[in-house]
Amino acid sequence: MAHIYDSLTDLIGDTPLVELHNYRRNRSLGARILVKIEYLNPAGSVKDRLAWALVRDAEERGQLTPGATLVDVTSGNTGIALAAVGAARGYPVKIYASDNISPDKFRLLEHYGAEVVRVDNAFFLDPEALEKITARIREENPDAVFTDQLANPANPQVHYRTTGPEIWQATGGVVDAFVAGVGTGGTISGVGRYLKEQNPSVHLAIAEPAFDSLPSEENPHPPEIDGVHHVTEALPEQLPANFARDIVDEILPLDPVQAATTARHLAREEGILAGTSAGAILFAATELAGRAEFAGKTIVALLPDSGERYLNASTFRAAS
Amino acid sequence: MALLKNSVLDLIGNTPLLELHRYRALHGLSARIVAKLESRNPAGSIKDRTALALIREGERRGRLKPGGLVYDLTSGNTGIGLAAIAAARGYRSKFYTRDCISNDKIALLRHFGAEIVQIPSRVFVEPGARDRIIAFMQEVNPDGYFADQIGNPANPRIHFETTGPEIWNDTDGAVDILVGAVGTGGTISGAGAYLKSRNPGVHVAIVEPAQTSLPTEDNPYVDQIEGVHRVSDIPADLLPGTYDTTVTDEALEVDTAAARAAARDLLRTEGLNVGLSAGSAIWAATQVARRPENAGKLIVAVLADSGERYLCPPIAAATAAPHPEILPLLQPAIAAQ
Repeated sequence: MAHIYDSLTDLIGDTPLVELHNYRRNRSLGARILVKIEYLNPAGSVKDRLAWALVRDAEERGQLTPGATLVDVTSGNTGIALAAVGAARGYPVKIYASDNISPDKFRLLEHYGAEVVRVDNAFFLDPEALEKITARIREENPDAVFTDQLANPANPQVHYRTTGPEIWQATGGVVDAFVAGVGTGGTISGVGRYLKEQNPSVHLAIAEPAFDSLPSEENPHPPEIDGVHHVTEALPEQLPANFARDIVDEILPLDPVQAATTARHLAREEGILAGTSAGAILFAATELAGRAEFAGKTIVALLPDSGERYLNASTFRAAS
Repeated sequence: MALLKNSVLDLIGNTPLLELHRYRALHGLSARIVAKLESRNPAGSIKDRTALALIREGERRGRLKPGGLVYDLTSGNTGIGLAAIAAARGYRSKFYTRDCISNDKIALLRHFGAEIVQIPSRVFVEPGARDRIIAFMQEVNPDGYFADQIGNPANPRIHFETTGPEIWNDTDGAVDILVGAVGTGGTISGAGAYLKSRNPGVHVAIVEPAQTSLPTEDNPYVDQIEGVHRVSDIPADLLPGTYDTTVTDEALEVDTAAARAAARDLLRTEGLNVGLSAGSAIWAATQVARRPENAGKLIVAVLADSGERYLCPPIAAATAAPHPEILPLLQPAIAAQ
């Protein structure tokens, strides 16, 4: 039977899960680590799932008329995904992004023809930054459709509907821990809820940038893990609405350069390309896998995007 | 359904076919164009297939042992594929490249732990350059495995065994025309031969760079289409051994600007980000699709990689000091100046 896809959106999801045999052997890890390779989505990241879910949701609710502009705030990947989905569906895209994200992503956004508004990273130091940027986007774009990845329930829902079940099926239900990062919180909240419904003892862990690596007034542009936010010391109003914090069992902090170094190790030991957030998540998974209580267990780490997007980022340049 | 895989090697191939409905509407084409999306290979290009075949061949022939070295001459993607697979299989990798390939590709190769030796572009325009460089590499790396993407029959064979059958099966045998760019010729020779073996009426069109897109002695850093080579007016003894001229029915010439415009149209209509060789293939498929005799026909265009790899333009490495290893290779070139 012929098997020809009709749209880029049909190619989203159903990403492979790969067991890291070399990586485990090289570290004598007691647990198995399986990585979910999200860069094989058509626009190169896990955010393709989200972008299509947000656009489809808006279409189904009659909010999107042909040619309407999509707008959101993003650390890049959601913007790239919206630009790709928008192109495939006929919507222009406007993106607000911190000026501290990888320069490769800015080039990609511009290449896709997205309108980009660079926001000084110092702005995000404000505890009310999320609320303020949301208000600014609404005010500056009254006629656009604000996809609102941080609060739109279509975000965790798509992970509950697709990413979670894919992991459950590919492992045959053998999954003891799941590790992700928190950008919007959509992945951990959606996948986590699905997995806990199948097996309440699944351990849910997130990687976060260590407190002392965060931007500050003195140093507003340090090496950062794009799209992974610090959660532990955050005030409730600083957390995205899509992050179900109470579902998380454990938070593992790390330095952003460690994240890039871990990504490099993965490339050199397994031939798998991973971005900074993916490196952070694998770093956290490795920590779990080294613990005695995880011996023989199966840990699934979600790798949001490819290292190809960070070759010029400060984290990758500093990685060893 | 996503199944559990044991290695990055298991992710190679079985790439999807995507019909370009919006692109077709933009250009008012009466033929259908279906794109084979090779950027979905794990290291990002069609060369992952080639690289896997070359490394398996080295293992089969006993040339690659754990910790051994694999090397080749590559414009980037074969190197990236080889570097990824070598990493997964426990080999070291080393690549000789022109000094005008994208910096992103160099950074990627280094990320995988590969060693890079860049060769000034002017060396490549000298007569007999390729054979000289190959002999040089073999002399410098006596214990390494020369993957030899342009001479190793494992290259076209993998496309006969995988790319061709995938296209045949996924179109349910309805493919009328195959379009692709020629780098080593492996893709078109292997996939084209397979399709013709199933249906001798399949038309195979290749795209090659126009004279204006080729480097010359006067302009070695011309805006070129990376990894796409001219074959139709090249003497037979200078063609890659992996290119089978008998498979090709037609050759179209593209200039770099037209390839770039086609890639851009694809991005804006389908959301598909492709590289310039893929842009060339889309441009050629569009020309073929416009012909009245092809109305209603099914054209499959092989899109070799993503545009993500070409966002950072090459900075002329010509100004950098040459790698000490290649100094002997430069002697005649320097003397000629």
